[in-house]
Amino acid sequence: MPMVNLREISDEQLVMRAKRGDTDAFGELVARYEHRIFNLAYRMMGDPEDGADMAQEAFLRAFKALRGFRGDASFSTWLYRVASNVCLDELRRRGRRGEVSLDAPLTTEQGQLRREVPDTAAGPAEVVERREAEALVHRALGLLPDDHRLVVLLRDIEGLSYGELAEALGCPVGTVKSRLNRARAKLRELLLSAEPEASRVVKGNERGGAR
Amino acid sequence: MKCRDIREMFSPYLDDELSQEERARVEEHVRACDKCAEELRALGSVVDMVRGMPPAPVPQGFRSRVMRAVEKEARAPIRKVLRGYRGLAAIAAALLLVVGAYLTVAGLPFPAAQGIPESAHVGSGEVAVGDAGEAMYSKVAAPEEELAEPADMQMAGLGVEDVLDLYERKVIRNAFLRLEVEDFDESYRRIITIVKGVGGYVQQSTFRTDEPGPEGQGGYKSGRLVLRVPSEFFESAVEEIGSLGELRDREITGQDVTMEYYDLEARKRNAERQEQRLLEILAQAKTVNEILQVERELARVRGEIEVYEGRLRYLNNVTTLSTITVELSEAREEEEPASPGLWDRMTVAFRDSIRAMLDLAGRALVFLAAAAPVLLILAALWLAYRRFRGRAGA
Repeated sequence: MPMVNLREISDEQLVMRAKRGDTDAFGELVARYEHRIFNLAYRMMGDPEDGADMAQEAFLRAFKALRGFRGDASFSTWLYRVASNVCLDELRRRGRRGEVSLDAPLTTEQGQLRREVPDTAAGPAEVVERREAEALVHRALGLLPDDHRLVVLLRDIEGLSYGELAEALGCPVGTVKSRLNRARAKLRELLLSAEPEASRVVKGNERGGAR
Repeated sequence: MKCRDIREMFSPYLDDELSQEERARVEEHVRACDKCAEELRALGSVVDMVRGMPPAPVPQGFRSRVMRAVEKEARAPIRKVLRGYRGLAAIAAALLLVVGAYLTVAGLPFPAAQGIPESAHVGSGEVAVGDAGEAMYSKVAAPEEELAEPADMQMAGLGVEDVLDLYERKVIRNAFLRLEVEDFDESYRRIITIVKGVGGYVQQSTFRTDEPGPEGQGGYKSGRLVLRVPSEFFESAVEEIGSLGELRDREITGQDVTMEYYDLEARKRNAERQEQRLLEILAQAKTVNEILQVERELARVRGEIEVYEGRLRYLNNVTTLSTITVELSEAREEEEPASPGLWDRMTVAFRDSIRAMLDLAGRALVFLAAAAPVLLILAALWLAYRRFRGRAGA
């Protein structure tokens, strides 16, 4: 058996191997996409633990459904679609309508922090503005309807093009455009109108990120 | 152009997904409209904020957790197959249930529902038509019990010698039939035809006629026939005669006399050898006293031989020819029940339906009982599957 460095071959080749039952090949795909899929699931679910569970379910479902993957879209787009459906299904099942659990600690790369919303206008001094802003955006995202949050995340966190969004969401590009527009407008409203803190952050951002 | 239409394009504008022309239109508008310019700035900052969110690190051990689940999935090809054919499996199970229920209800071979299967016995006391092995065994161990049909033996693939050997079996077979027929004379004629057809004969026949009743009815005939038919046609003759009318009674008996027959033959041979020796002695006898003594002995041996021969002749007769005794009687017309009225027929039909339903219910219960262990296992598997799904989805 010729030695193949799984790290050097394309997604498509890995998919072909995984279809034949090569779990190592699938493992390489997981390694390539776990970061993106976890972040999507985390922001969709609003909680890192739920996010991890959903990301795992997404990969498992993708593995089971791999046989049905024809390669019409790229693997990454297809995987986003699978993950999106897993999250939407779960959210629908819970009937949470996209609420974020406010008490759960927010995990960032710098470590955990508690969300300081909404009436802690003067946050602890050591909480830097950037984290404050992130917490606010995270919370605002959580208040968006599930499909609006999904399109914003796929576009602005995952960086999908409109064409890829259409494939991942299974809807026409026109729908993607209008949904994304409405989602952003709503997000802006949520961030600006709700709290003075948020306005301050948004305004500050407008002025170039400096307070 | 209205501000609303322009704002529709803000998102694609920020994403650089507009055509050159559209782009120019948006930029032209925001230069003139302060409100829209402010809106675009705000939207841009929102997009920036979202994009500026630091990516969260994947939790420790995430990949190994995923791969454990994937490996487990990959190692369970049967479940995978079942998953793919769940619908098919459900249909197959339903079909099995229906077929099972049908077999049960229809009374086709289904041990739990039918009880003891019917044996090959045609009637009480009839010589059992065993299979080849049984016949061979019984010949050694219990010769008086069973008789194997030569035809069966040939079908079982036994050699010619075996078959010949079995032909030598001596079995006395008797049948007693009581028949109710519509026309005595007609049935009588047909019985004679059947018996003659197989090379048999009527050994004895008697009949009597009832006195006609006051209204001219009656005058029924009844009678008794003793028939002798070659043993190989015994069964078919019994069947044919039995089908001539309403069979009220049937008794078939068989007695294997093989041992007795060969025993007699051996004794006869011994006696004949003794006779031969006595004849030799007689030829050498010198004195009258000697001659008388030998002749007396010779007479005794000859008498013995004759007894054996008589018994052998009898056995030959009764075993090569079987006896069928038939009692015939004419059906009495007035005994036939009058055709029942509508009410009676309705009640009978109603009762029959109830009985049929109870019967069906009983069979269904029996089938359910038979299927219960399988259903329990299936239910357990299903629950386990549900739990697995539930945990994976939580």
